[in-house]
Amino acid sequence: MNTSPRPGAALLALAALAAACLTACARPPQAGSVTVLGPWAGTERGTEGYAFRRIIAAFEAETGVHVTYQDTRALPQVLLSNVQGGTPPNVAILSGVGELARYARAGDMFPLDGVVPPDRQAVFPRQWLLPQRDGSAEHIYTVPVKANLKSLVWFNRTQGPRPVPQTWAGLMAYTRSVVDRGGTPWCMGMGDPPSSGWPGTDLIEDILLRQAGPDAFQHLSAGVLPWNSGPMARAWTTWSTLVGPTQLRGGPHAAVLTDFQDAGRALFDDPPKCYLDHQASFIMSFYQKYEHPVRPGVDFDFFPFPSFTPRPAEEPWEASADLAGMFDDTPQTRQFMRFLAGDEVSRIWAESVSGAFSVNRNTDPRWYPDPVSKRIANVLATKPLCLDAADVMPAAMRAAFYRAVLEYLDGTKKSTVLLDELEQIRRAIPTRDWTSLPCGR
Amino acid sequence: MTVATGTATPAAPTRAGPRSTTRRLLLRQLTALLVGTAAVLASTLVTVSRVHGAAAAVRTRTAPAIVELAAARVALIRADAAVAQSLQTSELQLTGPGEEFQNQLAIAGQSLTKVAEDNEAGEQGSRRLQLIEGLLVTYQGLIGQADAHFRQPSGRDLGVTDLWSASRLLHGAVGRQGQTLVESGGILTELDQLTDDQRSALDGQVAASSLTASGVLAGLVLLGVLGLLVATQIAFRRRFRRQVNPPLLLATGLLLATAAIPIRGAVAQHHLTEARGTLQQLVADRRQQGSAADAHRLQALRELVDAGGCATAAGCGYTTTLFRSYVDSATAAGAGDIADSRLTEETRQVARLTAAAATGADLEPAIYLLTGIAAASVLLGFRPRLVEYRYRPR
Repeated sequence: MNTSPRPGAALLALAALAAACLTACARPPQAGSVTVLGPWAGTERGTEGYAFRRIIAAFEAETGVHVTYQDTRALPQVLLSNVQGGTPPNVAILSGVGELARYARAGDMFPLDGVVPPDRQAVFPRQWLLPQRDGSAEHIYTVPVKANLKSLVWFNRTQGPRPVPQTWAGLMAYTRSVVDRGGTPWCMGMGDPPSSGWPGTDLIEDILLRQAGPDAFQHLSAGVLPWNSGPMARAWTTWSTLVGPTQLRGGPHAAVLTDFQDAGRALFDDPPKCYLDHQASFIMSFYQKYEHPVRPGVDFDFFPFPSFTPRPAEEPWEASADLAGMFDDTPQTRQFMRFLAGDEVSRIWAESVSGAFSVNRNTDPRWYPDPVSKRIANVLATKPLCLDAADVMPAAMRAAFYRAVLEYLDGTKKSTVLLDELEQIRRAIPTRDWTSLPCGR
Repeated sequence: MTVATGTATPAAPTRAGPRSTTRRLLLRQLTALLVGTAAVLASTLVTVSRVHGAAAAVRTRTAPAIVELAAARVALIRADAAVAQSLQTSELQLTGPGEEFQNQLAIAGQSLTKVAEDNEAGEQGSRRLQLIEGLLVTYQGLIGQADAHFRQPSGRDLGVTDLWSASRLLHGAVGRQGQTLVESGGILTELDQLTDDQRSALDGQVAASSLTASGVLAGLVLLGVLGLLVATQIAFRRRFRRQVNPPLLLATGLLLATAAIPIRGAVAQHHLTEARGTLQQLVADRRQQGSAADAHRLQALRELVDAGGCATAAGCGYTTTLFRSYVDSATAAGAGDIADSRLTEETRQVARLTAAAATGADLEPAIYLLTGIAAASVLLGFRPRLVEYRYRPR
């Protein structure tokens, strides 16, 4: 037996121990996590980022799966960069239905047919699940996480129109009456760099939807309706009668320079510097954060974008959504997608932040704290809806549409020229890049 | 002084029992000393390598990232100011957004590329950089559109709109923070947050280079081994009648010398702390440079917006009214410019300090050498006694 001392062995043992600890102790293994890319920023109470983090916390508590959430304002660019770089997030949530459909067709997104159970699929309108045909089969690709109702006109309850206009003629009569008494009827803000112009496209789409019907609306979003065709030209002309120099606070150029969330401030001046604000349901949360906060149902309210016929049948509403798509198929990601399709998500939105809604039919309007939110929740849960046409268009077409609104308001080009230019862009986009999603429940 | 030698005769050992006991004792002492020396090696290495690792990371990554972020910030502000000023003059008609705009944008792009290479803020830092790069592409697109519209006879209003959008994308929207008006939420805010991320990483690295916890542990281990060595010397003197065992004395001296190594580490840490202070000053100075450059942008943009019919208090709505108030308050605050030469000197100072910290902390070879020789000396000191008692009990 060798009894000579072995100092090297002791040293090696110590060194090995130290090295093992340095590698193993410093970074504990992290299994079963999900990365999510989304649009909602903020961590403080009352922000959408806070509400979504509560949703994530509820999922983590239920499953033990860790979620890493990245919010970004340049979501389309960051997602495209990640996908092209081969490092997509597990889940991406965006409102650009056109982009999501393109990812689905390219095979970058995974179908959710076997992920979201049929009974959970049934609580959402089918088109919000982004059904895409693959040969004879149809697959769904998204789960709607949050929804916004768009066909709304907001007003100051104490100094706004009484009664609220029910028809387009009534709306224009009110508009003229305000101008006649020296006031400015419309608050309008197009600013939202880098997507400025969308508040104008929302209004044009609402006019098209009411004036030409849901088929024309869907044809526009699907790239079938020529921009310089009768329905679109008529909608644009109708919009132009509403955005004249005397009808917008500060005039059209001011509308271009005003941020969308600032436009409604003048509703609450005394006397109001403008009386009507066409905006989506999320504007409520901005109103409530003004220097002098205002209360829904008490200080402000909305009326539905009016019909062009005196007694219309039930007309669909324009709405937008943030849709979650699955870019990596792991058990944890599947769990997260199933959770997003659950009722719990709608309840957390309702309880956490003002102006955040869902198209989940199980949403209980009683979850919402004020009468205005209850009405919006009810519309989203029960009425036929059309997805925002600009969101469904390919990104190039959408950007051009936004741009055309700015160019028109700044007086650079006439509507006929702009519509011809938009039509040229539509024709240049291949048919396969368009997405057809019908209106409905 | 009597010195022990390899051939010295021990004090009347008996053949079996006492010899075996002594050998066991000697082996135990030797093992304890070697393990202790190894512990000194490990604990001192941990202490010094933390300082060295932190100093190297600060020198090669964190400090350059912060310096480049500060440079990118100023370059972007100067680019935006240059394009706003070129729109006021006829320069744009001839040269587009201008050479200064192109140059500053190129500088910002180069700096951000270096930040991507040196990013020490982990995944969060990478994500912010991605966002910044994505937004900068959009910013350049808007400037390109502004350029195109300003060249058209009827495109001035739309050109102003594009410049307005681009400028707000870069600087953010004006809002109130308490009683103060500030611009926030733009690309510059993202850059500031990325700088904060890097500074947090720097704080962590400076804290990791602290000798407090690991240094105390290394000191205690060293004291223990030194005590053991002294006890061994005393035991050898009593048992083997030798005043001093020179190899053990040498080992004691060598291990005492390792105590001086963390002192150099402390000096390196001091350099790091100084470098952090200089970096803070550099970032503050760059921000002041940015504010001074931005004054030109604010005035130019306000004049362009006013020329479109927004000159009255409520002419163009709340957003432009708030912007005009912000221009007034920023102009009244009047940040003075800072010469580039001062920033260059601060950058050099950071480089000097971090280099000194990294060089001063590169002491691992010395630790291996000192403890290695000390372990060999211990073995040498024990060898004659072990040879004497090499026979095992029957």
